[in-house]
Amino acid sequence: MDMNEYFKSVNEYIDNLDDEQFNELLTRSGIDLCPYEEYNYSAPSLLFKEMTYSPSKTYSTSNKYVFVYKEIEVKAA
Amino acid sequence: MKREFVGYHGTTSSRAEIILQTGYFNFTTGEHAWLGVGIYFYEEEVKDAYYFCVTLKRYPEWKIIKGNLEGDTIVDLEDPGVLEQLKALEKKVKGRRYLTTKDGKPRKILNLVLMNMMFEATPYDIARGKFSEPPWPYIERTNIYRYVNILCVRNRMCIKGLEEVAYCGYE
Repeated sequence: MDMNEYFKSVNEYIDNLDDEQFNELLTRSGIDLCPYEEYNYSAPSLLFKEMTYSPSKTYSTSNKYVFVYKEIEVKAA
Repeated sequence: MKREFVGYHGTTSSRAEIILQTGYFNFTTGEHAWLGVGIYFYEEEVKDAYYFCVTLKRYPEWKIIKGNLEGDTIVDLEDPGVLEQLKALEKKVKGRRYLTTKDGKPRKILNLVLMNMMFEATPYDIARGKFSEPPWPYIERTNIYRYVNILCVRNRMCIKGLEEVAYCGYE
C-alpha cells in the first residue's frame, strides 16, 4: 500500500474516534508504559521564603528544618 | 508493491527449537518494543543478532534464526515521507486528550504507542527502523555509533521461510 494512502486511512480512523474511544486506544497502545513528562515543579512560595530565612542563631541542619516547619505551623495556625 | 527482506532473530536455544519446529514466534511487547508489538529481526546482518544474544541478553545458550520476509505494507522509518507523517500523527495525538491516562499524569508518547495505534487503525505488514543499540561498544570521545536496522513483523504471514544459521560457538 502506498504510504500516503496508508496514513490517510490511519488519520481518518483516529479522527472518527470520540474521546473515550481515543483514550481506550491510547491505553491499548501502551501509553501507561511511557515515561512521565517532566514537571516544572516549584515549591510553594511560603515554604521557599522560610527556607531562605537565615536565623541569627546557628542551627544544625536538622534544627533548621524543625525551626522552619514550626514557623510554618505557627503561620498556618 | 511487495518488498523482501532477510532478517536474523536471536533467541535462547530452547525457544529457537520450538520456533523452528512450529514456525511460531511469540510477539515482543512492552516498552522495549521500539517498533510496536511484533516479531523482531535484525535486517541483513547476522552479527547484530549475535551481539543481541551475547552482549545484550547474555543468553547462556542461544541460536540465530534466519527468516525470509515479504510484505506489502511496509512502514519504513528511513523514508522521510513516513517520518513527516509520523510527526504529524504524534502532534495530532498530543493535541487530543492524551493527558487523561490511567493516573491522570501527562506522559511522553513513545514510538511504540504510535506504532501500535497505527496498526490498530490500519494494519501494516512490517515496520522497519534504524536504531543505535546501547550494548555495542562505541569509540570513546567520538560521535561514532553503531546503528542497527530492525524489522518488526506484525503480520505472521510475512514470514516465508526459517532456518537456523548459527549456534553457540559461532565465532
